[in-house]
Amino acid sequence: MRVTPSMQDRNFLENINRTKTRLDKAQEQITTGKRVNRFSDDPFAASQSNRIAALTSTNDQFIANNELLRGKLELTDSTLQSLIQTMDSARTAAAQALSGTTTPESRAALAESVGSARAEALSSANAKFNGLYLFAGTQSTDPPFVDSGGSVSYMGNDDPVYMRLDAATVMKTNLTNSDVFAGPPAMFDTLDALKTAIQNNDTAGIRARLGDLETLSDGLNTADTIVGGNLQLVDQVQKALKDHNNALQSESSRLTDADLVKAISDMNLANDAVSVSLRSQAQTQNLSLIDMMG
Amino acid sequence: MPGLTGILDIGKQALLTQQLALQVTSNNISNVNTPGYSRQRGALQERLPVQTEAGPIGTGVQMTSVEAARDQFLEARLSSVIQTTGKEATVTGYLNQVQSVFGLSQAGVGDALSRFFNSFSSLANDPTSAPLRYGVISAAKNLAVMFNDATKQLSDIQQNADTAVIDSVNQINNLSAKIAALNVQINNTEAAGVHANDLRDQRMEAVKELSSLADIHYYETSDGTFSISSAGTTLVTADFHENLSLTRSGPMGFNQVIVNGRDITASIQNGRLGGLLQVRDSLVPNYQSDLDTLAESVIGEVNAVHQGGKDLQSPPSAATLSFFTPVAGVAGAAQAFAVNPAVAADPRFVAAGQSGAPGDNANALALADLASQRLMASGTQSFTDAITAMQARIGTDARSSEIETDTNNAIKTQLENSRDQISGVSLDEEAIDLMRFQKAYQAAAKLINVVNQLMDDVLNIAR
Repeated sequence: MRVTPSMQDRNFLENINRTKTRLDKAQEQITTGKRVNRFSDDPFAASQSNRIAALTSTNDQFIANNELLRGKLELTDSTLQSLIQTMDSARTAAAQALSGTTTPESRAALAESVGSARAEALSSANAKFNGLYLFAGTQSTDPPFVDSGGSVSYMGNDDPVYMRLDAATVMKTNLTNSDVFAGPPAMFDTLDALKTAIQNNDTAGIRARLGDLETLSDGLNTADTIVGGNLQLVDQVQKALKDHNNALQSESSRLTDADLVKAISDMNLANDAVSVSLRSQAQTQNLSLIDMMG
Repeated sequence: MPGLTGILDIGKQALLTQQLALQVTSNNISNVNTPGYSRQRGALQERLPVQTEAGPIGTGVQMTSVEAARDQFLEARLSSVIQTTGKEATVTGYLNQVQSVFGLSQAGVGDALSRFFNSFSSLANDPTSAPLRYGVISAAKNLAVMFNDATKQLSDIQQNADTAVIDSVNQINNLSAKIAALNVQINNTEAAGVHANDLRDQRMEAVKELSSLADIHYYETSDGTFSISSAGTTLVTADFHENLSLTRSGPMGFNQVIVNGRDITASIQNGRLGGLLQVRDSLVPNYQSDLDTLAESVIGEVNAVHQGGKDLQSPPSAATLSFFTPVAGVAGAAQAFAVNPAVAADPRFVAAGQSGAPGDNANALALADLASQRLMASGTQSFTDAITAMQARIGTDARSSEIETDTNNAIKTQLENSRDQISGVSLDEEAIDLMRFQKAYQAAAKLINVVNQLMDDVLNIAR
């Protein structure tokens, strides 16, 4: 075979370029920490990793939403708890009124305590989370329970408010008048009637209202159980979302991260190859018979 | 011419011939790095003998011609590989630009789309919140900018390719003219019976350069001229060459390649020009159309759900505004992608609810849900799927053109090496020739010296 200088030069250039491309790739992987730096490096892995980024971003939004929702459900829970206590204190007053040893003065004091239970209940019924009224349905910008002329009327609606917890789960996140207060028996009417019955020493009336209060307490406990269940569900979903994101993260790493050990050893190999071939080229370049001629 | 003068003549011819051979060798050595140079050899031949009483005796040496070592088959293969390399290298360069438009970074259309739908999900937490409503508007504006930018960058890439088409066509015309001129010179030179080696080398270089620009076919006619055709049209034949011309047409006003009144744009498949046309007329329009389809679908689906809801005006508007400015069709949708200015100016126009109650988040949830629904490609792809598919398509196109470029470069190097084996200058070989012809020259000089002494001797006899 005839070997010409231009052939040697071309082969040398071609080889050194190929090795330098490898060196360049390895260096890029080491500096970016990524094996895939553009779509053409691995079209499948690159597009998969973008899809994963979209999923992760959606999950992050769900996680942020669920944190807020958790706050709302916790407030609903504690509001229901305080309503249950309020009902208990009204029941205590009713029981005392039925004890048979009451005087007009003590009845007035008991009626007063039922009155403050009603005020507490009204305040709980108008509880706000994040600027929105908890029990107003979707009319959540205005106080839902308005005390006018001695009776409480409901200005909200019974519309549900849903939130999406994750791709699969949608939850009704609110309780409204019909779930908690409207009855029958209606909470505020019961308290008003109890107060009147105590004032009038109407034992039959008091006894009837006592029964109503128990029904109301049962209802509140049931609602609180549902809220507690919802809280648990939110926690479960949160954990699942975080696990999912971790899995997505490691899948994305698997797809696109550089194997640093391999990249560094590739770089060293390529580096050695470059320096050896440069040295050999410098030694042999255009070595020919011409050099030997005297 | 027998006798001493005959021998003297043989010596003279030998001197001249070895000197010529040394000249050919030195020409080879000096062209060792000249691209396209084919090494030359002086063809040495015995001169005609003279009759003597002892029979015919030779009269020395002569150089009959100088021939170049070349393999036309290899040159033709090289030309065809150069055409493919020219095309693929061009496509790879442009696709690298396209890749950067839809980069892997966190700032593309895909990311903006995720953040846009997330902003509705966030608004569902509190549909009455002004900051969250502004968040929706800002995410939507960002999405619009991403669509507008991406489509603008794609058209810029097309425009750049179109400008490069003009340069390529000019170069093709110059090279055609050059080859036609060389055809004439070669024909004239060879009509006188000598090989036009250097002119042929120059013409081959011009043909290779032309190959890197367009898909051409060439053949050598019996009179030594090249006929070159491209896309079924003759570009060069003998001293004649046909100029390609350009005319702007189509909706984008791109340059079409015309020859003899015929539009051959679609038939040019190879070389740099073929690559440019593929990028401009086929690859980028595909991506552009993917992007437009996505934009149109996002606008249509979001508007449909949005207009099914109620805004936060008091009382809620009778007719809910469209969220994005509606577009007439798919073409140009990414460019026209914009948030309805009325909605952008007053975020209370964002329809988060469906009942008109301020705390109703049903529509915000429905809008956020659009992100995961399969609304594209006949209900088989979500928006994210569509972007992913588009990115995979660009990546695959870029990858395969990179591989093609690498492969063709390797084949090109191989062929160039094969060509060098035949046509390249080997300095070792030339050094041997140098010594050979030097020795022969010295011997011939010695011969003349001897004849000179003999002649002296003859003259001395008479004294």
